[in-house]
Amino acid sequence: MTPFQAVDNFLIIPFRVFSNPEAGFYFGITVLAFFSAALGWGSKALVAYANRVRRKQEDGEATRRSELSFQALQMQDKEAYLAQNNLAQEHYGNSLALSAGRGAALLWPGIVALAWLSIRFEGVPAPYLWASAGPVTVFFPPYILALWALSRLGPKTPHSPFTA
Amino acid sequence: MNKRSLIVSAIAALSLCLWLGIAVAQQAPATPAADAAKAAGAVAGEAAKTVDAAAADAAKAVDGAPVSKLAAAIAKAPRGTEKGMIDESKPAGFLGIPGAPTVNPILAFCWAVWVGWIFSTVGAFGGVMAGVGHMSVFGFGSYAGGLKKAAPDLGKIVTDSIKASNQFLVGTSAAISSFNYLKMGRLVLPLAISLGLGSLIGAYGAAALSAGKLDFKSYQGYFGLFVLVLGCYLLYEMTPGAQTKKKTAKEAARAFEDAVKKLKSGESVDESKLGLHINKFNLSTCEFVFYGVPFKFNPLIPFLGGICISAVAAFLGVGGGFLLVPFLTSVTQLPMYLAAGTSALAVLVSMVTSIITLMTKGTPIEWTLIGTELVGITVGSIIGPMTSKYLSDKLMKRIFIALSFYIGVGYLLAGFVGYKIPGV
Repeated sequence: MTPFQAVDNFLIIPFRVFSNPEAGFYFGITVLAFFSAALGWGSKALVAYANRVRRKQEDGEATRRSELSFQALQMQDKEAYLAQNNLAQEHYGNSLALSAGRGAALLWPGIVALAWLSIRFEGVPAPYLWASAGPVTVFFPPYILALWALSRLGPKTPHSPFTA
Repeated sequence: MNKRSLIVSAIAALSLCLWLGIAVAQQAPATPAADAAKAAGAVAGEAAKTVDAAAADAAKAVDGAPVSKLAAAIAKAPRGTEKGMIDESKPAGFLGIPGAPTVNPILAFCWAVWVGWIFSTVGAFGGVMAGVGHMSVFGFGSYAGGLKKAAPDLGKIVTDSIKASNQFLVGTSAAISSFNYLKMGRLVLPLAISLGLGSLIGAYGAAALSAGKLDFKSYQGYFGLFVLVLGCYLLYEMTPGAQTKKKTAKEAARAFEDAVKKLKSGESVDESKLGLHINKFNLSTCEFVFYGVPFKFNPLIPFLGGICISAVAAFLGVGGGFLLVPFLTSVTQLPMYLAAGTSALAVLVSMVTSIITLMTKGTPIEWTLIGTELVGITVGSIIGPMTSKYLSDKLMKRIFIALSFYIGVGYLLAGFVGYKIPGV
């Protein structure tokens, strides 16, 4: 058995729960969407945990510089404001680059699911929808909904693995 | 409607656009009406071993049935074993094109680990490396370049696909950051409107005008120019002059910090002055007060900046966030605290617009490759912080300056002069 066949055998299970093929199609895609979103949040939490020290350092420094720039503003010191703002921006740049890893971790299961759907259901139109609608069209709404729903769970502390 | 619900609506609208865009892009193979039996067959049947959908579609194109843009380009391309021709005896490779390079998933994964490692240690240079992977390491660039004369349409589609793939990899940070700032509500609404509108127009214009028209050599040349400019900027930052300037700014910042520490004891903050208050917003002026200090900018400036930066980013297949924040903080002198959130949303708007435009114009996406690369970036981002403590920041910066010069000059020469230097 090839690795693809092993993954395929696993992912197709929810599609065969119902004997009715249309129901199985929609149920399978919904389960796949929720599973992908959950796996994405899990791996994002792992990356966030691995990056926590650097992230805390970069975000902390960006916030500290930002706060100092606000104080400079209050004291009408524009030169100090620009200097602090510039330093804050440097740390923000690093923090932005760090978030690429968390973004990749969040999205890879969804993209892999899309790849599998386009291989397994190549040329298959989605039942009851418009002619051009395929499995990928059906996949997106529950996937986005699941990502949003999962974002509402978990602690909301600034550097928790569960925060974006 | 408050700011938060407006941002939620904007993101919901963007998601809907992405979904609709992909739905439209899926129109390609003209299937008859919805056929549940087909779905049942796919569910019950064996999974395809290898998918040669594009080649199968190409056969339909020969028969005269309506097919995707990729299939039409494959059908139009000359057959043969020479460079730039479709060799049907060879297995389907990238995008299902017979004879196109097939990427070893282990190589794709390892390269993506490297990209993820750079993102988590050095910074935004990871985006450049993602592009280098698609163009040079996986061999898509030389394949697309070889199609220029014999099958120009196919070459342009492959180039667009490379560009869209680059954007998928670099756009992940914008998606995450926008989500973060959405939660914090750090946004200047008038600025977000003008910048977002500019980004939308710029990204759509660049993607729509270049989709299916840009040959690989030109793309490579412009990408090389961008990397070279980036390298020059990094080099400038290492020069004594720039270092002194930075040192002076740091000293000014430290002096202010010390002054604040002295003042802090017993001093209270005027709460009424905290936060952002927009006083005036029209087509030519935006006036707001932030922490008691008045700010003023012309909304046309971020609008035009958004158009230019997003157009460049969409054209090259890069993120653009690293250009937008310095633009906002230097041109509008907006606090980084507010510029960050606004620019992240603008990058997301630009990226989604560009990808949707490319996809609706028939650009195919190799989901399997992107999925593999995202897994690699995830692993690289985990490894990065564990290994970065063993490397000096200065040394890393020097290595990446050398790399950006080598890649930039190499791509420039290959793209515009036709001279190839080893490795690029």
